[in-house]
Amino acid sequence: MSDDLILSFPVLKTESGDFLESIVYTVDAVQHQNDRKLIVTHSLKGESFIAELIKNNKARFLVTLFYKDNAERQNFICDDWEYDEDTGEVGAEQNIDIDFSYAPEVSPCIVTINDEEVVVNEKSGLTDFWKGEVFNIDSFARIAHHFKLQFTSGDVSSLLNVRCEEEYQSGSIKTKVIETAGEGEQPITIVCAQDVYDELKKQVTDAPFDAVTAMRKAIITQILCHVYAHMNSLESKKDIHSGLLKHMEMVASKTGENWEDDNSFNASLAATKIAPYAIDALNKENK
Amino acid sequence: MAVYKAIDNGTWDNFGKVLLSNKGSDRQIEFLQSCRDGKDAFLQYLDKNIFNEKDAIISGKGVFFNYKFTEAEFRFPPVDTQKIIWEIFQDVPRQNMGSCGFWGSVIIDMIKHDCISPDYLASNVNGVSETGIYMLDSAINSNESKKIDDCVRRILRSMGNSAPRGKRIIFNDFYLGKAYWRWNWSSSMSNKISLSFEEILNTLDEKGYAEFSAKMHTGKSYISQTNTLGGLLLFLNKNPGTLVKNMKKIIDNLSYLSIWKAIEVQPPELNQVEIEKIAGNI
Repeated sequence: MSDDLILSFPVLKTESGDFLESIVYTVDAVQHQNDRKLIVTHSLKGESFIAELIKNNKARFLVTLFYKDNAERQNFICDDWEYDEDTGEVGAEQNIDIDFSYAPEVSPCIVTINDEEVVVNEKSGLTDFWKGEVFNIDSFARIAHHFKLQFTSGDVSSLLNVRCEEEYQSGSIKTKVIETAGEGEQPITIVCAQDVYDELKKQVTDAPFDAVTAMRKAIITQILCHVYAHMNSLESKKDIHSGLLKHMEMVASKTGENWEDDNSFNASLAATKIAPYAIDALNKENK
Repeated sequence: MAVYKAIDNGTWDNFGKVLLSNKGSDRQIEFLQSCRDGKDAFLQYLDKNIFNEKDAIISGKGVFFNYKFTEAEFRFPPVDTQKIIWEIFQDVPRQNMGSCGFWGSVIIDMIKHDCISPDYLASNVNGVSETGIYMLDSAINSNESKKIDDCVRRILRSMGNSAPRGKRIIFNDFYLGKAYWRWNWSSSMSNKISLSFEEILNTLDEKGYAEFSAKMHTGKSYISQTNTLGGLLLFLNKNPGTLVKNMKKIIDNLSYLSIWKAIEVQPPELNQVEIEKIAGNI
């Protein structure tokens, strides 16, 4: 839909073509679940009219958080910024309290505060197409977009929640999955006995060196493969948690097994075909 | 954050899905009959079919009503009952208030403490004869699988179970949830815009709230941002007839506007002006 919009001013976004390649807007978000903090870091590189607007306090970094289950949206405007003269980078860090037990979707952008007139010159960071142009930007216009951040990459702690059940017999482990969990919510719960819980919480950074360490390392991969085998057998994948679905597709392709054949597919075998997930990937939330 | 007692969401959802898996089945009839037979039978049924599972309950602080509802009041809480509901839940974290498992546990405790009778859950009090008892008898003695299934769905919705319509049921269908969220919006928005709590509550009446909440939970959640909703409420307060007539188009146009303009940070008064322009062009 946004591609259909014809605006009278250039917007910085991936592959928009208006800006020089040296102008780059990146955002990182780190979630610390234990103390319910979200740290969002903005970085705008290269000389551009957007950087000038920020430096003159006429534009701001903005993040919108979306807690899907409650349809609650919150906005955080960043009033501070720092300029690094050596790298030509305008940066800012936002430290945001999370109101819910799961991470929200994070949508960053840069917005103007008032109506602005920009006269394009060699420092505007724009392609020749805009040379000599004078354009007017409305107040609160989004002049730079960034993709929505969803916490779906490599770190599987965003998908798994581990809980200890003291009454479970030693060695017991049970996995529950809510495929339709909200964005940012942990859809897989591992409920386990104290001894398994202790194993899972150990920080393992070295390569496995015996059967025990190999088993410890493989357990998460085994769980994920079994969960994904179950999900794969569902008739409709329409309502599945997007992070889970994306991760399932990635894991499935890495195993090289045929996940479509319900009769001969073996999740345990598939789990042995990929490099196991390190246990410490589970513990990223422990700051 | 205090932990509140709740039914595990997976267990709760699964309970509903199993019940809905076969229209008109013996399982559905058994469920309806237990509801018809009163408190003890219904609680025994739930014990057998939900709480027999080890991790079915997440233990924590309980929320108890010291109030006995009438059937009609449970189905359509009037303003004074909405106030009672709000006061009981106003300190509970919002995350719980959107959780099906939390509300399911609240409803079951309300039955245990005689605040409501299980047959209220089947109520369809739109006409004089459609009490819960009437609806249950009518379904149990019917050979129509759809009628039986409809009654089961109605009960599940009244308990905040997600199986019939997903998690949004709490905001859109479930009586206590709707009353709480309507009051919650009115309370929080009255601190953001120039309208009083009562004026906002009036705008968010049964029809107004239904219009907004349905959209907030079906892909138009950008209107739940306080500055955007504030603009809409200011506009509706001046133009009350617009709600049904043009609201859908206005919200669609706002969606388009929000792509390039950060209406979520633009003050509600300026959003009201934008909405007036949009309405003028429809």
